[in-house]
Amino acid sequence: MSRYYQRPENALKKANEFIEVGKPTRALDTLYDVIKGKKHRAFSEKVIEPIMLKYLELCVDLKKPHTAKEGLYQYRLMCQSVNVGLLEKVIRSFIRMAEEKTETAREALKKEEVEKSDAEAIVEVDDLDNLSMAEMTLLNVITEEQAQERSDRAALIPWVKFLWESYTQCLDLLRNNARLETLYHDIAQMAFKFCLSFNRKTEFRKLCERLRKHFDDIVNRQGSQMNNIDFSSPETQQLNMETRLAQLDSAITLELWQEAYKAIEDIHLLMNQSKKLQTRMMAYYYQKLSLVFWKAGNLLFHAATLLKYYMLCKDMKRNVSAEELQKNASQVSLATLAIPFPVAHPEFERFVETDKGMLEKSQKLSMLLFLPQPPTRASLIRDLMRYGVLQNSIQPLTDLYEILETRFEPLDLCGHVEQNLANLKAFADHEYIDQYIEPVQDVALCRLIKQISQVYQNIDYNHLLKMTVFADQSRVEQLLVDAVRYSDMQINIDHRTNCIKFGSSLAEASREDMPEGPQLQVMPSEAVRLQLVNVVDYIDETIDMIAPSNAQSDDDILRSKIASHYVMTEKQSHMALLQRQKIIADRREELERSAADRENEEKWRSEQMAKQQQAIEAKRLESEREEREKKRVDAERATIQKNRLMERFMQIKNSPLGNKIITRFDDDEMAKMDVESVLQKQQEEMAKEVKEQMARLKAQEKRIDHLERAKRMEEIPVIKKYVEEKKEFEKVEWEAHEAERIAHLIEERKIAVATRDRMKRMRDDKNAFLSSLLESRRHVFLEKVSHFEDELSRYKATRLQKRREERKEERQMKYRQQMEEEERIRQEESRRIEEERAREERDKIEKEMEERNRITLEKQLAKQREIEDREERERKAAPPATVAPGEKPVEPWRPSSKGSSGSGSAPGTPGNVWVPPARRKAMESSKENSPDFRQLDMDRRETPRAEHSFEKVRERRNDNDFDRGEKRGGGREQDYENSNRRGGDDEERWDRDRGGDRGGSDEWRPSRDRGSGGGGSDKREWDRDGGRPGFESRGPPRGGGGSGGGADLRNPDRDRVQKMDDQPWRRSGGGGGGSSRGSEGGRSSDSMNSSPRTPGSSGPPSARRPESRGDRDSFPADDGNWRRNPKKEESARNK
Amino acid sequence: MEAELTSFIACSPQEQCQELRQYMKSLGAEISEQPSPKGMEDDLHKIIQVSDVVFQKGSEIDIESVLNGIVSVVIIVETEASDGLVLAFCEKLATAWEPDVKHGLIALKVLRLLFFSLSERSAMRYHVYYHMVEVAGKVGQMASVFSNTNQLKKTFSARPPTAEQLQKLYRLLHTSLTNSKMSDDAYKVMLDLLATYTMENASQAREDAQRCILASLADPNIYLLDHLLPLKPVKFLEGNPIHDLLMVAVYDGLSEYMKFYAGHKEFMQKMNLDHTQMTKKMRILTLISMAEKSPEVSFLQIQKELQLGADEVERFIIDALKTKLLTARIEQANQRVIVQYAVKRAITKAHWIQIRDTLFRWKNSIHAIKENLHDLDAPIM
Repeated sequence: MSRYYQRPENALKKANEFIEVGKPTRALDTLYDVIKGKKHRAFSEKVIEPIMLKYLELCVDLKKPHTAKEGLYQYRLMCQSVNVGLLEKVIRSFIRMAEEKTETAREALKKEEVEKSDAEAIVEVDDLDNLSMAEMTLLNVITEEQAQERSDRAALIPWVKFLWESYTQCLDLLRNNARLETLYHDIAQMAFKFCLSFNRKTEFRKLCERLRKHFDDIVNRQGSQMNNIDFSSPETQQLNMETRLAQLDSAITLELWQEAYKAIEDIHLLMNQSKKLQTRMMAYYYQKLSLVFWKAGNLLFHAATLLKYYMLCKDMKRNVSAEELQKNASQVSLATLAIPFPVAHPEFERFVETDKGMLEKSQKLSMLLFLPQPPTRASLIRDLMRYGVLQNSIQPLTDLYEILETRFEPLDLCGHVEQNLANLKAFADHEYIDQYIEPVQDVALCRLIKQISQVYQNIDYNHLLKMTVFADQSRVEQLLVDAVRYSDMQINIDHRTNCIKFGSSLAEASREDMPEGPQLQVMPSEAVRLQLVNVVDYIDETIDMIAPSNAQSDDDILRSKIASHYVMTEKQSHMALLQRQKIIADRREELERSAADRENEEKWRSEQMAKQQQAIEAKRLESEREEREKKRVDAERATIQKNRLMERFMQIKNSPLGNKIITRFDDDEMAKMDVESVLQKQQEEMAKEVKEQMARLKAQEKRIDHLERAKRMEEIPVIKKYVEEKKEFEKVEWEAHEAERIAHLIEERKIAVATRDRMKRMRDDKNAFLSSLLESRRHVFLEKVSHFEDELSRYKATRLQKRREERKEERQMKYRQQMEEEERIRQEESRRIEEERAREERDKIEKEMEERNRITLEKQLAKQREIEDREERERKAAPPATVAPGEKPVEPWRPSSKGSSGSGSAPGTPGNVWVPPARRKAMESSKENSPDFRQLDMDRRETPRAEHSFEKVRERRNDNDFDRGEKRGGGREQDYENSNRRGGDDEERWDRDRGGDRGGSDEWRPSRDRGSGGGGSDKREWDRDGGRPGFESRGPPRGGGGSGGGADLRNPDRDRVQKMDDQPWRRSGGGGGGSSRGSEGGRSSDSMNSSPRTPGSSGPPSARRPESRGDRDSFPADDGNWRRNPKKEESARNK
Repeated sequence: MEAELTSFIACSPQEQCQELRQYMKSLGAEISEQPSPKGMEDDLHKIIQVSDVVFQKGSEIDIESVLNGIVSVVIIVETEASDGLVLAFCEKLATAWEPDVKHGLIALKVLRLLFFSLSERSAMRYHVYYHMVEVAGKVGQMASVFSNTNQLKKTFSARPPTAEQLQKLYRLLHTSLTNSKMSDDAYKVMLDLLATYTMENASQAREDAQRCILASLADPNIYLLDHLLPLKPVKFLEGNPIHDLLMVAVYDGLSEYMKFYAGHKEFMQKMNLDHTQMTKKMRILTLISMAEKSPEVSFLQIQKELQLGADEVERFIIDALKTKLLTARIEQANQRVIVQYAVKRAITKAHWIQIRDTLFRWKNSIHAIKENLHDLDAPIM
């Protein structure tokens, strides 16, 4: 359902439509969905408001209070924190609607049955909550003639029920919201009025119960929530108080005294809670309380309340005229006199009655009156005298008092009372008098019996009745019985002799030591009881009379005692007196001061008030001004908005879609719409457009899909057929072609056979020619060979001689160099450690690399040293045994070198330079014919690494350092350079011989190997060389030229890059550049693949990493390059 | 004369007199401002002579202080002279304040001051007290000056006044108390007064005795009159109708009274005695007499003896009970009254003896009971 109502307005519209077509239930459902919908919370409560109103209206029309409640609950959730005012408005309107409906229903009913009271009709229904239609039908069946009336009633009662439920629900809804407190109390009072006007006692009781529960809830869990009602605030108390008073009022009007009493208890509680009590309210409270007490038949408290009220009136003299006061006083007196005599046995009562103890009860009641202890008849009469109430009241009352309370005239008592009461009625027509007459008469009768009981032993019933002027026998008898029961009097009624006997029993004793009322003589039982006491009293008296001196002496003793005591405490008491005086003076001063303070404070407060008033006034003015300002601004804004609106209109109009929308509305409508709605429309329109588009697309897709499917389905057989046909066709075709081909091949064979046969004739001629040619060449060859052999042996001898000398020299130098190198490495290492430590933060990864480098370097160094040591040893001890031990390090070394190359962190120390020869030697010894490309790779890779570290060092250093570095580098690179130079010298030759791919290391390695290998190893060296493919193809310059050309081609590039890259560091590096370049220049010839990388790697440190990565990237290419060469060589060789 | 009270004024008596003179003069009294050449006593005499001016012209606050000033001076004057001064001052005060009651109260206060300022042995105290009673009686303040005769006698124990003086004072007290509606006290005073007379001078109290009897008879609260009989002046009246009436009231019943009334109607009128009241009194007394004879009295008997209507009996009995002379319970159903106790109208010596015997018997019984109880107690112990 709710999908219709993306916007609440639509829902409203829909609902209206439903209502128009006479389907309010549907309309209600529609709205209910909107209100219930969770997402609508997102809408502003203002948007919901009209919906809410409509909804409630429907609820009222359909008499669905529960639905309304749910709606209201939802709405409250929406509004509670945002806009309570709206909620209030909605609820008020809801209640108002319900009331109106009920009222109309009532009116209608009234109109029809003018003579019958409608209230009666409703009263017949006991409880609205339990109203059942079954009952109604039953009634209908039973009473035929009242059918009409009943149907009318049936029209009204649901309305009343609905209204009642609305009230209760609203109250439940609002019960604990501080901001809606006023509304809550308003509704409570409205509900009271409702109960009154429809005379709903049951509902009233329930209502009171509900309110009390709410109230208790509030009191019991205070401050748990923000919106909770703060019970301690005076406003709340005031509101509650007013509600309670209304409740009390209503209860009294409905004559529900129990409810009234409860209300009074509540009020009392509230009064205790609130700090300041308003006299007006107190007066009202007392008035009502006295009424309730009166109704409850508790005359004692009724009188006490009246007395309180009188005192209150007297205290606020201004408001009460003397007449009023007299009236009050008279009422108090009369009420007090009307109090029945107290029960003599309160504790006895407790056992007899199951109720709570009288004492407890009366204490509770006196609490209500703020009395410290429960009043009694005697105490109230005393108060009458003390507060001069009696003097203030009218004459007959004082007389009545005399008759009842002081005189002892049993024979005339009732007559006098009667007369007095008549006087009273004549004296003033106060409405209150009538109600007291009967109680006063009862009191008079009681009094009469009391008096008679003192005087009479027995009395004739008729005689007594004559005395009791205004009472018949039954009343008197009732009184007598009550007197025995409650007042502990000794009365027997003897109906046999028709007389009443008093005080027959001597054993009984009255409990009161001081009997109230006029006393003439004690009962016989009392006389017996008090006999001894009296005797003692009289004897005492007599003794005093006979011997006054005794008394005198007693007096004297006492006097002297007093005197001595006085003397003893004279000073003390004097001081005490002085002290007291001082205290009094102080107190007085204090009082004066406080009075003055109070005055000042008062003044200050009034000033403050005035100030506040002024401030408020100013604020008001300010706010007014602000209001005006705001209005002005609003107006401006409105115009601006209007302009903007127009602009927007134009804009929208300009867009094709907008135009389409706008053209749909006529001008009037357009004028009514604001930008938002237009925009909304536009958006709606657009959304619609999009949706339509989508729908269209989908439809199209479906259609196409369908068609395509159909098409394919149709196609299948056709295609199959086509394929069959094609197969057939192709088979035929193929067979034809095959046949043709076979024919061709046979033809060709025939031609070839023919050609062979033709050539067969030339064979002998060819063989003859060839043998003659070989014979002639053989002689020349043999001659040349013998010549070469001679030449070779001679040259070999000289060369070997020369080589040996050279070797010796070289070894010596080598040893020195090695020592230097070791020293240098050690220094380098320590320096590097320092540098690395400094560099740590800047380049972590670098550091890691370095670390690894260093570790590997050290390892290598160690290994190298070991190897070298071994070499040395080998050389010294057993030169021919080099192969066997050399194999050993190869196996572990290779994986490690592989790993290092894989990880890209090849050892970057110059020591590397030394390693390959040793390794290669071993390798070459192990597998002579396989060119170690990897080794070469390593070289290429390692050299720049080593360069890196050098360059790094150089970069860091100043010129001096650099010089040193140069020197050292020079020391190290001496070999390099030397060999390079040598290489350079031999370059052309070697290049031509072995190809440009062989670096300097390669080039001088053989020399070194040769050196290390000694003379014995020469042959092998040559063998290896000879075994290499390049050796054979040394002659053809193509491979070397190709690779050399590659190097040459690269060189310019390299130079350019080098220049560009070298610029920054060379400037800082100073003269170092030259040497490094020189070394590079030397090295460039070493390995043409690695050389271009060197300058890049020796560039600024920041550029180093990418460069080095570039190196790695370029490896495969190099490899390819490099590999191409052997291929070429191979191809060349093949050719 | 020695002053019982010390005055604390910072000037000499002469100066004080001078100031008083000047004050009196300023009020327009006929007095010269010059001190009398005869001395201070004369000065005071003159001042006292004109002191009534103070009540007429002085302001209320001044009156008391000025008069107190006079008192303070008077009490320190020489003894011989002071008596005269005190007397003169008292007489002045006794009359000068009239008619203003307020002034009377002031006068009373001043007299009181004077009274207590005087030495206990001073003869003047009686006079001052007499005047005090006089003034108090007029302003209705008898209670403040008189409580009972015993107290009075004690006051004057240091220097008792003479019999004549006492009789005079009692008489004054009686009248004053009667005027002040303190008839009980007045009656007692009268009895005391009559008791002061002896056989010798009883004749002098004839008037008093008669008045006393009349008062007793007229008083609605006095029913028992037997105590009057032993009084000498009353005895002296023997033979007089009034004495006869008294005898009737003491011993006889209603019928006798009726007889007497029939014979002495004029006398009754002359003595201003209310017949109905007397009748009522006599009826109650008769009832008591009847109760003495038998504790059960029937209504009929009462009706007959007391000459009452049938419906008046109960009312009468209740009234009688109100006098507290008897307690009784009415048995209305049985038409009779059961008297529980009633006072004796006249107590003779025999009665006293009887009482004594009864008391002794009672005492012995009590002792016996106590003994018995003790005996009962002991074994338990």
